[in-house]
Amino acid sequence: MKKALMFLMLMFAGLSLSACKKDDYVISFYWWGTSDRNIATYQVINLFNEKYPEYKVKGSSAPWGGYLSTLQNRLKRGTEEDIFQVNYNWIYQMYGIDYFMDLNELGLDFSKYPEAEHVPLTVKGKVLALSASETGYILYLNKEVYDDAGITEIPKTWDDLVECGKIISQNTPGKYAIGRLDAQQVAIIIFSYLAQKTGKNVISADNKLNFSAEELEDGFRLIERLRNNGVLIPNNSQDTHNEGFSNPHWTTHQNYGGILTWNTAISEYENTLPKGSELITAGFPQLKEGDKLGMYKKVSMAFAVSKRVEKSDLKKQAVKTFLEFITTDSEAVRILGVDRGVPSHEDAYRILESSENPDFKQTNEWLGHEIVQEYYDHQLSLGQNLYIHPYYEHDAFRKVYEEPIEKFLNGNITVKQVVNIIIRDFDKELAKVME
Amino acid sequence: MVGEKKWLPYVLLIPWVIGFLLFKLYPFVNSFIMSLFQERGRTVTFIGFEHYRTLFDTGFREGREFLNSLKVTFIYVFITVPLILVVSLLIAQLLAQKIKGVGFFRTAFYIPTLLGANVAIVFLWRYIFETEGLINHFLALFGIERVPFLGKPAGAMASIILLRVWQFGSTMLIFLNALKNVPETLYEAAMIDGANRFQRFRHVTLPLITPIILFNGVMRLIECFQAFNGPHLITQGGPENSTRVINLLIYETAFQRGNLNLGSAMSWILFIIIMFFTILIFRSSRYWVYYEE
Repeated sequence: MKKALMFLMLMFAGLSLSACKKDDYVISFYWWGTSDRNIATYQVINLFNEKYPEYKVKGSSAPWGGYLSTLQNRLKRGTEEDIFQVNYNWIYQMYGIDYFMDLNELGLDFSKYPEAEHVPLTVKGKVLALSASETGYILYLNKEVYDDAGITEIPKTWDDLVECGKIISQNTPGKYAIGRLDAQQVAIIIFSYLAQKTGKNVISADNKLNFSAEELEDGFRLIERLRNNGVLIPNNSQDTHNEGFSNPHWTTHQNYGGILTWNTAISEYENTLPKGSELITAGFPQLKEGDKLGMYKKVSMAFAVSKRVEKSDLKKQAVKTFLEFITTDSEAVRILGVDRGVPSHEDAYRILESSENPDFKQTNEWLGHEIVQEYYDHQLSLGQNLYIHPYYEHDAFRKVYEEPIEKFLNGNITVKQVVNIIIRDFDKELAKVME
Repeated sequence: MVGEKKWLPYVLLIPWVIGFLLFKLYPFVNSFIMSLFQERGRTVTFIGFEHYRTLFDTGFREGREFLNSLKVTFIYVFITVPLILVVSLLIAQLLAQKIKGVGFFRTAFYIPTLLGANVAIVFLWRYIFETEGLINHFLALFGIERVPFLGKPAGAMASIILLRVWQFGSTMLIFLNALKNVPETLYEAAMIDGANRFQRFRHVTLPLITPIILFNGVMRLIECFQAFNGPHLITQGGPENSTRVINLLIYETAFQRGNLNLGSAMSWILFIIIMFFTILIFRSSRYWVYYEE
């Protein structure tokens, strides 16, 4: 009997030991970012490794280009890192429910994350990612271009913007109030403008295109108006630079006076301008002054955890400790600043908000974030929910609206044609990617 | 002694065989199997040849994309391959002459091949063809309006074709070697018969180098069907998908959209197309390739 008991005890001890492999205290973390974000993140990792010698985090950064395909392949092969940065829509596009760990199992406290950011990352009750920051589309202006044209007032409405375009092209020929926008940016203008007019999100609750052909035509007429009045370049085929932030018309010639982008991405545009240049956070043009409408927003980036982590209690503890550290530790939060956008976690937000360091609150990311939140809250008070649909940016689906818009911007199809193509394909393709 | 070590060649072949099995045969067979399934997350469903049917059905977006890429690839291949062959043969013919500094010219013409379609070259290429690029600066000197080469489908296609043709060095070297192997006595005989320079080229040189034309033609055809770097780095398939060659679409489908199954089906269709044209050329070679017996 004693022998049998001893055997059972040894067996259970062996089982519990085998649940934790020897190196489970080591966790890997993978993210994409610019050099600023990479430096800050490595500093935070070093700090964590010092403060928590019982664990070890190994970080690896990658540039944006190729990150998605690398991560997808690693997930399929089961060689992904323990923690990895994801875009909000990837939890759907990558079938996160199959590959990402349910963060409920880590016992994290989600109460300090805004509900609007926590809910989209929760699928069928499983929390598949932890929001790092939120983002929305904001217009930023190059002060020098507007100063040179003698414009002192920030355009607040679409009419103001058109007036600025006229003045800029008249006083400083070859320059534009904005310049070149790609199909993705133009789509956001159209859908935001239509949201301002109708209060509707581009995709309805039953996953259909929420705008009629007439409404879409109206949106494209706005783009025509912007192109005919010196706000946007008249034809995108004249300028084939795909990356707006490295476009010489933006960086060196400074012919382009503005950029419409996610507020978390503005540093890319800021960093490529000559020293001494100044960007102004201009909000989002409205139908009439004082409105705060048409603001789409989404989770900018989030942290997901490999499903593999579920198998080891030690690893789960290590991952939990690190995620809490990077999102809430006051020293870590200050080091990261707004390099991952304005933080989502309430405590981290308060730490930066109360900081005397102007590096945080005076950044265009922060200023843009404040506008995004203000507009979004206002919209919610009116019953308008413009949260970006999780499949709106799906790599297969987005072509449905981006390709015809690209043709339109290159002057190869008319307003009626572009609208017809979008109407024809939108619902069908959305249903297909959502299958 | 030799008889005692009959096993040696097989042992020496083992590393190659292992590499072939692991990195060629296994992915080759596996990609076909994958093309018969549909993966959605961890749910894998056998769908037979459904992906293949979709790719040829214009009722599906994937079908329209694929057929467009097929058209783009054919345009690219059937303009690029003849151009490479003609240009490299022409330059090889010039370099085969006994002229001063021929070594320098050979090196100079080969350098673009060494550079390939790397990032620096792509920047250079973009700089040449951009609206504010070198060619347009030159045109502007004569008061000619700027041409948005990369902004127009035809211009973008021309730029990626030129990039590939520019890298004609390897083809040229092979032709050069072939030209040098044409027996001098045949030219002398032709000259005695009163053949002029063009006639000597047409009736002596060309027939004798047809095996090399066949080789270069097949190799370049396969390479061009598999083109990726140029279109990926210069035009990213644009404008409006006008340079989205099949390999680029395969990459985007498999690795950016994460649909490895559909990407595998596309790869197999590309493989069949390449095989078809390769067999066609080999079959036709009996009518135009001259093998000196």
